[in-house]
Amino acid sequence: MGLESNQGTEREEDTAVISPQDPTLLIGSSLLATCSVHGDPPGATAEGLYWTLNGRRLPPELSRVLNASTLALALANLNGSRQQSGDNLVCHARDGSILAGSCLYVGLPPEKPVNISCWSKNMKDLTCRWTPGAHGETFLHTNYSLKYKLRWYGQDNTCEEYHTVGPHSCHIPKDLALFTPYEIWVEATNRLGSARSDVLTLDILDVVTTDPPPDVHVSRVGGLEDQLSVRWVSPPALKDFLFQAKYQIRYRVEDSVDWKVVDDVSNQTSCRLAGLKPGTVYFVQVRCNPFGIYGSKKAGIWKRSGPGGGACEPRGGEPSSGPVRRELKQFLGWLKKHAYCSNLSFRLYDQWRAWMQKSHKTRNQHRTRGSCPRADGARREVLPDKL
Amino acid sequence: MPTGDSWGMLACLCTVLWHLPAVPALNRTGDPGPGPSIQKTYDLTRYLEHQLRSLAGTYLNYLGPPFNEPDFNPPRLGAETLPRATVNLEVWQSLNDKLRLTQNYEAYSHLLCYLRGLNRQAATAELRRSLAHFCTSLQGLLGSIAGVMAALGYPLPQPLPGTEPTWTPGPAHSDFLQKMDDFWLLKELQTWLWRSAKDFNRLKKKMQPPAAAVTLHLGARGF
Repeated sequence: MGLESNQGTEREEDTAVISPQDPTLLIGSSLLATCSVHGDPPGATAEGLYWTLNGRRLPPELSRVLNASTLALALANLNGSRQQSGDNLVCHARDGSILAGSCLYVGLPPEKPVNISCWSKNMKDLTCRWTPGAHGETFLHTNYSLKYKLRWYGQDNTCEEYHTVGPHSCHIPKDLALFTPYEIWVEATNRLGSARSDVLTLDILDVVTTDPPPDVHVSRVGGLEDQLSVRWVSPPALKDFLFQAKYQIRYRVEDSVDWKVVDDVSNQTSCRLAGLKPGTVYFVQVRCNPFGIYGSKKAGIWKRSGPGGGACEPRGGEPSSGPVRRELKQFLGWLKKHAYCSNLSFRLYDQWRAWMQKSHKTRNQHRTRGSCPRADGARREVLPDKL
Repeated sequence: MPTGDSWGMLACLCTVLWHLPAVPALNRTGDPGPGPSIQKTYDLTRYLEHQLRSLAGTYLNYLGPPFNEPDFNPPRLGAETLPRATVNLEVWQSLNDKLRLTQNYEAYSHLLCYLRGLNRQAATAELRRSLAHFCTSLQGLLGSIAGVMAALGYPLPQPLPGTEPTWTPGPAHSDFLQKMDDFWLLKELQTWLWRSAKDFNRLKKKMQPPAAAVTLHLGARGF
């Protein structure tokens, strides 16, 4: 059954002490350590003892017997600790058993944290993020503490919910005041020292932003090949806000990196894009920017729709689309009133446009197929021009 | 090496666990008996064993070599108050059900307490989360064992006055000694989970209805 007791490892008779115990050292510094044995029978000797560091035996030339019961070790130009729990320096008896150990913490003091940025999703909380200042690692565990206080009311507070959006972030969930600026800073501390970031001063209202509008959907508009309809839902948090939302849309074709931006979608939750390239995949993003008397200067967060998305009709885009449609709308309205064409509508117009596009394509295909002989007599297929 | 008092210092937290509310006995009329709870407890020990393998691997890497080396076997000095799973085979076989369950319950109560006190300030946030998750699972195992004990009509063990672990200030425990204590805590947890699987498997077999009774039942139904 294999449940017999294992008696092999207890050695109450051999004890030793390493000095220094758990020292903290700067990278590049030196260390002189000793292992002193108190044995039973008395007079246990330092003969045969040896050192390991992180499980690897150290060269004997680094050790020296100081006296009958003490073995010394000299380490120079120490590297940063292999693990943040400390390097394991161990003194072993001749038979390999562990007599004593000491953790070495070798590293650098922290540099001051930088790039603090904060935002609020609902005017009641605040999330902040920062970057540690070290160009390289400190090799020691470094504790970060986000502090904040109201500018003219002196009490310091400490943020308590860390790592909410990444390793260097903190979330303050409640009890935040409006209309008075906060001073925010980050303190970094480790065994070798501490550092404090510059103070960031902000008003919560200036950094309010919304989550992206949910449920962004993009769909074709009937049979039209150059238009897409974008719909979304207003972010639920908006109803608590002291400001209004102004949506903004950006779009690009699949293989481009240039976004076209539509700035003024006002507070509608739908939009139609026109003047797009047929047969092309578009990527679309929608975001909600706060504005108004208490509006924040912070932009909203973009929300993506799937590929094949669309974007709102761009301002100053296709010159014929905006004014033409407006005038057409007015004309249709007049017609319905005065010309007994009750079944006239924009929908009918769009259907007509779709039919026109299809027949135009067909005409082009007929025209170009077999009609471009090359100099050598071979025929060449020409794709129809884009509308 | 001097023995530290870290277990004693942390054990003050154990007093909370001793006062877990007693689980009410199951309604026995027509119920399937303790069999399903025993099976569940067995399954939990296997699940925890699996979880511990991953947690221990990460934690020992954090402690650094030689702690994460496969044949590492340091002196077991400060960890004398840890409940020991290893036991003589004959003694283990001769345990009655009540004692078997009580030993399991007491062991995990202690181990959970020490695990919660594993206050590694320098550990990564991810490691702290894994530890917390494991503690929750271990708490679930304790509850499951308590359920089995209640189903069998055994009282939950209560600490005798004077034997309750108490907090006493002691000499500062060196970081290296603390690492060794952590190592043994994980080792002991592992051994206990191996043993508990055998304990509950044994209990499960004892609780199974005898084969003859099943045959008679089928005969009566005309099969």
